[in-house]
Amino acid sequence: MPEYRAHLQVRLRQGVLDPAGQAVGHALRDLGFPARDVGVGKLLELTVEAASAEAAEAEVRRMAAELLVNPVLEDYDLELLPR
Amino acid sequence: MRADILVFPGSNCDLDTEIALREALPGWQVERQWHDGAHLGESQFCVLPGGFAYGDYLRAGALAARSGAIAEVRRLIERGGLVLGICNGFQVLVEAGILPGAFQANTVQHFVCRDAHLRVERARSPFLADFAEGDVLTLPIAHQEGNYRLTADEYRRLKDEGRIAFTYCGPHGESGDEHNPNGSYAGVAGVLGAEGRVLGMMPHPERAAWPAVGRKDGLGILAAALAPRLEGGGH
Repeated sequence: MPEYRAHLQVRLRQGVLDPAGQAVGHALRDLGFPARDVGVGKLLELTVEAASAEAAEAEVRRMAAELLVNPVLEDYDLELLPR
Repeated sequence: MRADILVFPGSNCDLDTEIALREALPGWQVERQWHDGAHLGESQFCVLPGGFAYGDYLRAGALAARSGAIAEVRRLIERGGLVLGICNGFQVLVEAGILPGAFQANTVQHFVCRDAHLRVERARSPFLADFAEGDVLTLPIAHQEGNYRLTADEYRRLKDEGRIAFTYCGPHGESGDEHNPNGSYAGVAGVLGAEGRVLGMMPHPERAAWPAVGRKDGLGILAAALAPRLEGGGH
């Protein structure tokens, strides 16, 4: 069975307050960097076995829905690479 | 009569909760159960204690909410039992979808550990049987991710259904952002499940259960299991 490496970039949905992003933005500006609209998210990586890239993507999206992402607050982008 | 406390790797308020429940529920059997293999079939009351279940990895409460013990909690709720989630236990109930909403880091960006004043809201629940609307309780809070998020629509629906149990307030019950320690929507500190038999709250009633620690406002909440049930039939 082919293996795929999945990268999920999880970020707060548009409009959700991001206190961590704000704090990091303040710190960057204190250091003199011209940074605005800083957001703090997370990167999840995993390997999945599946018959095809489509099947692997469907499996990872089920993982996202059941556990990895909280749809109330978070959005994600999925990148899938054959191994 | 029996009350059970579920223990996850990283729970750290389970012993305090056991001692407080023994005080609140004289004559009851009170047990702590490891979540893996936990059985609530003989239980009338289950508490999910505070702590950092699974190190708060991924999101606070997310991994504990997928434990097999949560199926036992759902069965207890279906049987008419009482469930109380305190602090991290509240986060677990929200992650499990048993209570609505979601949690974010406190807007102040650090751990907050102090006494908080709570206003008892207009709500129907055995957990509030000892209190009247407008009563002010003082209970300790201790959390980093206590910023409880609801949409405006969810908040209105919960309010209409009498499911907002507590809001943060000043010492005389006054509301306002200056009394909100973590940025929670509308200062909500505790919410109820649909029939009032599930309560999630960020403050710690088990840390305010004796005069010896300077507070005992938590005792009435923990004694909920002794109060007559909403649907009659006593207990």
